[in-house]
Amino acid sequence: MEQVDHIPRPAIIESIRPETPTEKTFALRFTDGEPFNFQAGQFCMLSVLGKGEAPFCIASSPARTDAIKVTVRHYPGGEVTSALHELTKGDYVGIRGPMGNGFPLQDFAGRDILVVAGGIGLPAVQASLLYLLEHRSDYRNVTLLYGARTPGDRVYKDDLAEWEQSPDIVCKQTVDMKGDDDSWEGHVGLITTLFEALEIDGPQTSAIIVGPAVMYPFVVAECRQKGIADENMYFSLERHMKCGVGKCGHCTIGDKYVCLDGPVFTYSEMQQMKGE
Amino acid sequence: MNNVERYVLPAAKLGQALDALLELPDQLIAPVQAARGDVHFESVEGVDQIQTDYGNTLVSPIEYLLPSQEIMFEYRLGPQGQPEFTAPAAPPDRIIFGLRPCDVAAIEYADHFYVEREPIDTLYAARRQATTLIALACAEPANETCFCSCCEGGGPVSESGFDIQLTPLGDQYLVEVATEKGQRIAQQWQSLVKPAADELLEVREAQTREVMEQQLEIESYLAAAIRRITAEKVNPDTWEAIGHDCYSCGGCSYLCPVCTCYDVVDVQYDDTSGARIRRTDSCRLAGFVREATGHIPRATASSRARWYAYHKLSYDYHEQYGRYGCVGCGRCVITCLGQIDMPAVCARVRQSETEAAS
Repeated sequence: MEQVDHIPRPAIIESIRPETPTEKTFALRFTDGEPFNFQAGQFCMLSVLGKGEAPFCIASSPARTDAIKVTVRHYPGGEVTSALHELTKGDYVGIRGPMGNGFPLQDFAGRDILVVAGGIGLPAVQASLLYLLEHRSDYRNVTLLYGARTPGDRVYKDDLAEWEQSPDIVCKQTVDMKGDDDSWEGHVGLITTLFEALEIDGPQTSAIIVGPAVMYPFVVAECRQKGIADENMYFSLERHMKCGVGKCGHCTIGDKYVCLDGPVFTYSEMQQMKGE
Repeated sequence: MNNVERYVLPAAKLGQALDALLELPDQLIAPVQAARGDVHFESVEGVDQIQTDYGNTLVSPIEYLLPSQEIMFEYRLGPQGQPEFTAPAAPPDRIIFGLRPCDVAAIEYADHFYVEREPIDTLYAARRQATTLIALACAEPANETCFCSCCEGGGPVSESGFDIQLTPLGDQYLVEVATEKGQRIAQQWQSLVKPAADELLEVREAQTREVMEQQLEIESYLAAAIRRITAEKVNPDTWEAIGHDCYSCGGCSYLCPVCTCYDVVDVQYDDTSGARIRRTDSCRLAGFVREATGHIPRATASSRARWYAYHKLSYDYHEQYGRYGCVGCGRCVITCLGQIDMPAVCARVRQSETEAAS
């Protein structure tokens, strides 16, 4: 019988990388010597002791089990994200998890993979991208479409630059507007504009889609246009969570606990959900 | 429940029976009358403190299994800031005497929710394991707000969930022993009880029927509401109207013995130590689902009223939880300022069906 771990595991901050003015990536190494095994798309509850705990997606490769990375956007009203952004290398945090179902990447073997990420959605698909590239021969074409508000709002800029040159992945980026970054020579337009030139085998494609909710209906329409079935579109949903184990009741949508039944749902499943 | 042993305890010997409970090392929790008249469940040290003639308490005795606030762990930070954690101490052995059948049903619901439905909540499970439940069935409707007989598996007598149940039948109690924990109590009562004749069950059945007939007649409303809510065939105007009457005070869910939702917060004792606590939360409050971005998925009182009713009454959740989320205790009827308690909402949802059909 599976039991709830109320007590987090201690982890030390190995490095902190600023991604944007509001986002930082934390590399966290567990100090209890136990492996942390997880599936791409699962999340963890991250604590700053005395300040609180909040859910974050795990944005590192599942192949590494002694440490994980999480990318945290700072919200001024958010107690935990504010506390996290004040921490420095060598500080300790607490981690519970992994939690949730993750993306069923093994089931996608032999298929084309389309990853669509908007803004801070990229960290939620990062573990999947790393897994796909580590098991590259199991899949056919792998495509990433990434959209951000401005060039400066993009996270993981080094990875994106590398992937744009990689033969293993088709990586297309776009920004809604250039902002004050005149050096941006890439695509400008909403993420849906990247679909126009996209050549994919829709029925053979499994899609992974994470971004702001406002993006979803438009991306769904584009995916359908390309022949991707609703049951092959996988989303990772976000809700306010307190426990991560299906008890505290905060993350429910209809009869689903996002933390326990999700956070990954197919579009077919999302259409069945009742209520806000 | 199989293999229930039945005994008779003369009503005059109840005091001795309670005294025998005090001889056990367990903490005894029983109904106590406060100076101003309210009855509540409290730890007792003498039989004279115990009030056996009462309806039901405003606060459910489930608070001894689901406290309104509890420490999940304490932490202390070492010289380098590395945390050390301490789990809460093991819960005390407890006997709760005098639970009404509605509260026994609520505990059965919580058992399923926290223990049988994985992952197991270890804090609840440990407390539950250490607790013995002695139910006191109702010989008359406990309060005028009771509607347990309309609820699934409900009624003035518990059919399951207790370790021992006492049913008042005139000048005697029918004593039902259902579990090993119950047998431990029965051992204490050996000299006070004698085996019960089968006819006593018939006497009780007649009494039970009478109590059920005296209760509010809302059975069809509840069933209709369950159907309408599950099928999402409630006129949105109905939820709007119910939301309009809701003060978003959370009173219904704070008193509801079936409500399990909780909030988690950290408290600092000082710079290097503190605790994580969880405390009762309410989905009737707007902040319940507020996200870090400030977005509130259920921003209106009507959307929260709809969610509350859906969570408790839809068949979708019945499938997960094994029963509906209402035991008919009537506490929401007592507390709701807007008169949108469970029976009232069911009546309005049923009316909504009529309107939609015409």
